[in-house]
Amino acid sequence: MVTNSNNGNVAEVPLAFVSNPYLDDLTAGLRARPIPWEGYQRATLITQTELNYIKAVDKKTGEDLSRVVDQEGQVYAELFISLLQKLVRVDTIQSILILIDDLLMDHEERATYFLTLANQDPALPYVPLLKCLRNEDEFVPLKASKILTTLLCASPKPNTDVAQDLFRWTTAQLQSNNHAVVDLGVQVLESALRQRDLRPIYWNTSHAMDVLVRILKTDIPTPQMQYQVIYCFWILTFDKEIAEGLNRKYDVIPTLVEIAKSAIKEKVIRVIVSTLRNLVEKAPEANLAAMAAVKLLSFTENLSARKWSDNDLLEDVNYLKVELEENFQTLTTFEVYEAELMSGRLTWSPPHLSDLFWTKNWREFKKDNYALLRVLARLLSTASDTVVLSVAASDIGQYVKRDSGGKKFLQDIGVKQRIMELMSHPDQEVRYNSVNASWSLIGGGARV
Amino acid sequence: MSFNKALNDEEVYSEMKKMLAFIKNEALEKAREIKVKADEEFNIEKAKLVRQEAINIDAAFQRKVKQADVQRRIAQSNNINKSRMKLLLTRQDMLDRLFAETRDKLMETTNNPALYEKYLTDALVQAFFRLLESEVSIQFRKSDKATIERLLPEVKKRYEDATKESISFILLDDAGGVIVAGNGGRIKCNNTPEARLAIIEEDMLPDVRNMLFGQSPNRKFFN
Repeated sequence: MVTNSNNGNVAEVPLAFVSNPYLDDLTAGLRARPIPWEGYQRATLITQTELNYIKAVDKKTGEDLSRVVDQEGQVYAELFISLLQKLVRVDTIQSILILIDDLLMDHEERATYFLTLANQDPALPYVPLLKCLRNEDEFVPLKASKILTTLLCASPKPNTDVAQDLFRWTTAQLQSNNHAVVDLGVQVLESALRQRDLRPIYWNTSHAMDVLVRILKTDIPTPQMQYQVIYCFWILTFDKEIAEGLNRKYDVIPTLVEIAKSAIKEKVIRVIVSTLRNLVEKAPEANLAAMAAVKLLSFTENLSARKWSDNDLLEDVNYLKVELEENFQTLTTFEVYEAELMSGRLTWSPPHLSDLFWTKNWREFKKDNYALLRVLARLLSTASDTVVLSVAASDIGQYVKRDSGGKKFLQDIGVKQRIMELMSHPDQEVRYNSVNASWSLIGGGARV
Repeated sequence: MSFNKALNDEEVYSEMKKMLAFIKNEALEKAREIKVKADEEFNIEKAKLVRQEAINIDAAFQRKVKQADVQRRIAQSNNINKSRMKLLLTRQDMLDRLFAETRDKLMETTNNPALYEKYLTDALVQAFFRLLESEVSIQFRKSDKATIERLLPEVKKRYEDATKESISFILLDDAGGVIVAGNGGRIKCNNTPEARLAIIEEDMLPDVRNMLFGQSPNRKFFN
């Protein structure tokens, strides 16, 4: 809950921190438009009492509004929600939403007026607002989502079904072509995910994580958007289960490190480092290997040498450095190799070149019905990066040299075929490595 | 930023407003991050404290349970001791009264001549057999002297089945009965009623119980 201890003009962080110019412009436009409330009263869409109440707050903001509302906040909450339930005309719904948002602006404690409506009717206050999410008008869902977020954030035990509906809606919005809409969706998430109970809900909502990850990986986000999306990842990773699964399912660590390396704005780096810190703190076994695979340790050393205006950032960087250093020794090379393999980003890191590594670890590739070999095979077929192809080919060769029984299997899944094809690949290194691998596959002796 | 011309006041104001809004947003973002971190730390701390207190409460409760148990056992033990004590006291009291009454009755029985004579005879013979001496001395009441002398031949005859004997007289102040001593007074057989009562008091309580209450219905072995 937000306590309003505003001495002077220091702003308190709002629960639903949505600052979206697109929405603001739409709101401003609609606000200026006159609504014939009297007309509606004459058409008995609303009662006289309701009309009077509306007129008392219409077009008022700030101090004026407070004077009216502080007397009868509960009545207004009930009024607005019931109007949302019964009115159908788009312009009235738009106006009611604006009135509600104005009511809550800077005074999020008034959310309790709405939340207590649940005591009379468990469907309130959320059901009418959820209906708005599916409204065809452009403004209505956007505004309703902001209000829903405020209510969910103000609630000590947020309603998880409502949250799920909201997340389904945001998942759709995040796929929109309209950047402003995507931006609003992400901001809604930034606020909603502050509620700890909602984080697992989001994690389990289908495609919810996908769309977020996609923004970072495929779209070309602005730094502000990067910050916002990564901020969402950060608060999600406070949840242990999410911290364990995030990289495994969505391979975010390499992406985050890449972004951090080229980021100009300090806050982007700041939020990335915080996220990485959470991953290490909450789920080290799941994440340290992947971090070692992308050489995060040397990057943190680089980061710690730079000048930052934010001390917290430096603290987090140093924490990462220490943890990585400590665990570096205990991380077996095989774990690093496996992390690298699973991420698909094969490079000429030490395990690939070390004969000792292969002699020690080739049996791991047989486990789970050749699980790792299959991954290598998939990379061989699908990767386009020449380094990846070269390394994969070399790895196959290394394996086969120690387990000639595996040759039949490799032939069955088409690896042998593929390596033969690669022998005529345009890139020289690919050719070189696939020739060597073929040699081993065919059953040749010493390596060329 | 570079401009082709200087900004007029209005434009300056608007630019400043934009910059202020931007700075404010940046600050709000950082403030939000701090708040989130603080919230999470608070939750972890709270969970730790709650867990710790729950453990403490459990431990305190266990202590109380144990304490109550100990007290119950002490009370139980005390009660058992009290009842045992009461039982023992009552029993002792009853026995004391029983034997006191009997002792009084003893005084009376010696006044029945026929019974008393029989008693003296048997007591003498029993004592002789007890001592198995050839020479014995007999202690008795002055008032019994005549009776004893009269009985001596009969007694002597009964004893003659076993061995020879000789008799000497010693005076006595008792409630009756005889104390027979042999071997120059060194071995005594006290066959007075009082002494016999004493023997009953000491060694024959089971028989007393039998006389008062009959055999125990649960008893299985009678060797």
